[in-house]
Amino acid sequence: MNQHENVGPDDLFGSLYADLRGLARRELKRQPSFADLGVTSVLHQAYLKLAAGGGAIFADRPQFVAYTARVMRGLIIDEIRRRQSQKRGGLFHLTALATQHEHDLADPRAMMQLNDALDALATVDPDLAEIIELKFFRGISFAEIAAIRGVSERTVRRDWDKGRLYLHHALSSEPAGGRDAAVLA
Amino acid sequence: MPPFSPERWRALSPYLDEALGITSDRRAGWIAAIAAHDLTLAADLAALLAEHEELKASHFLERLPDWPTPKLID
Repeated sequence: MNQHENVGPDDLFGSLYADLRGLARRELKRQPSFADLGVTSVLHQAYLKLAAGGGAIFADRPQFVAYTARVMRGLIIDEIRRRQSQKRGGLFHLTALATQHEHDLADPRAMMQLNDALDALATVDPDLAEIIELKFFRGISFAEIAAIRGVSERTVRRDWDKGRLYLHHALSSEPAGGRDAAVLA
Repeated sequence: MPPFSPERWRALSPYLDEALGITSDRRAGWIAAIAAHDLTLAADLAALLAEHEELKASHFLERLPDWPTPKLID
């Protein structure tokens, strides 16, 4: 999107707000435990993190969308950490784990390990990590990712498989012996 | 199989690009051709391709997980 070239996050955030709102709504729908965060809240937190980055400049829309996706993943992980911390606070909170709401929260440890493995992948092969992030954490289709990245859908699918292989191997190699890869299936 | 070092992953990466682009029935021959000059590489790739079949069968990361309900204190 040429009109977005070399502009700051304020301009981009405004012009892409509808896109981002759709992403946030999709994310919250996929992770119902976080629905109480609210779409607008997620977006505004994402914006504040972007703005706090010191006037970051994005070369184009794909770069901005990918960056925002990383920020939003971080928000979800932060929320998991916060809720884990609350649960460790006492018997009252542990008892509350039996509720249906907490069942939806699933196993935070597996998500945290996936998050760590994804960070490791990002240092070795950032393109693969970005595809995993866009597909799994954001729910963007292969066709959309191909359009964003300017490559063929076949390439995206191959890289998705390759990235999944890295993560599956990393999680299966954890001392726990593979349980965490299994629960992500 | 231990976790990848970054160096090992980078060495395996171009082979995985090729392997994931060919059909499953041709992979045995492809592995055999690599084994003719590098047995360790062929063994690693064979293990990874088997793991790839496993993760496809289990739909790894294809949907949000149905994680177990956390347990209460013992």
